[in-house]
Amino acid sequence: MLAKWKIQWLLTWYRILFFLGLKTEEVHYIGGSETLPPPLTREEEEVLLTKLPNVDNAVKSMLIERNLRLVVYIARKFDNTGVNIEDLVSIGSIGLIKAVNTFDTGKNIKLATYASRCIENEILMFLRRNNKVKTEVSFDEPLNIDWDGNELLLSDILGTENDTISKGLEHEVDKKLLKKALDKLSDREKVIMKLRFGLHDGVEKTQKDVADMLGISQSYISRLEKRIIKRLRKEFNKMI
Amino acid sequence: MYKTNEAKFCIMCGHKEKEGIMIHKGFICDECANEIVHTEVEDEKYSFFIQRMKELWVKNA
Repeated sequence: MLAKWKIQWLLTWYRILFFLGLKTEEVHYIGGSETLPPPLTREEEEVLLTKLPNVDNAVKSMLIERNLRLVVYIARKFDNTGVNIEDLVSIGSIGLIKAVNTFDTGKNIKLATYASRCIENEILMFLRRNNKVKTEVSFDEPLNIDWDGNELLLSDILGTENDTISKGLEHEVDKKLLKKALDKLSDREKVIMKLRFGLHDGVEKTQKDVADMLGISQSYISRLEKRIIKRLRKEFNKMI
Repeated sequence: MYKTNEAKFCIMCGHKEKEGIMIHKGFICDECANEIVHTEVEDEKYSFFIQRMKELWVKNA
């Protein structure tokens, strides 16, 4: 009961400060959590959470401020990741703001538990993205600088194979020639080639599959295939 | 919706607003707070929020 009155009084005081636009004169440093406001007691948190669904900004502010120690505590756990502590605390603060804004008071879970998960998750997501970006290299990455100060960029030394442009065109011509050569085959030979090399649907079937479909032996398919390919090669040579 | 008497400068967008949350010495307007909630680490604006968020800890105004 005393705690309820205390937090109610604090909230009113908070609102007055808000209304007047007054702030405390302290400067808070990330390194020293002793300057941060103390965490809420269970009773205080309960009182504030009953007011949270009313979208009360004073309540939100208080819940965020009184959980800032949690942000610093969690951020410090990631101190060895190469990201500076100020950034980690900022990311954690974003996680805390998200936590207070998305907290469901209907669920039987403590805000601090939910906020811890949100803060940690926010930092982990950032670190994961950061590691991904680290492995990416820009085309404009300077590799070296000569005596005159000219930068040698990665894009300067990147090249393509000589036939990159012509390869696609040649592929198109080959496809047309193959189609012409296939027209010279009998219907059964065409079916075998289409099934074996997936010419109509892109799915290549085994000799056994084709043999089963056409009701002939696999060894016969093998012989036919060799013969057809030999014929196609001849037709090809005639066309080139 | 809770309003402050005087409009304050939002540490995120720099606009003078009345509605928002106050954390330490920093004021974040409702619009920016809402944007923060819906911004993911992959988003372009995320690094901007990280930088601006530092104002919460050192702002002395």
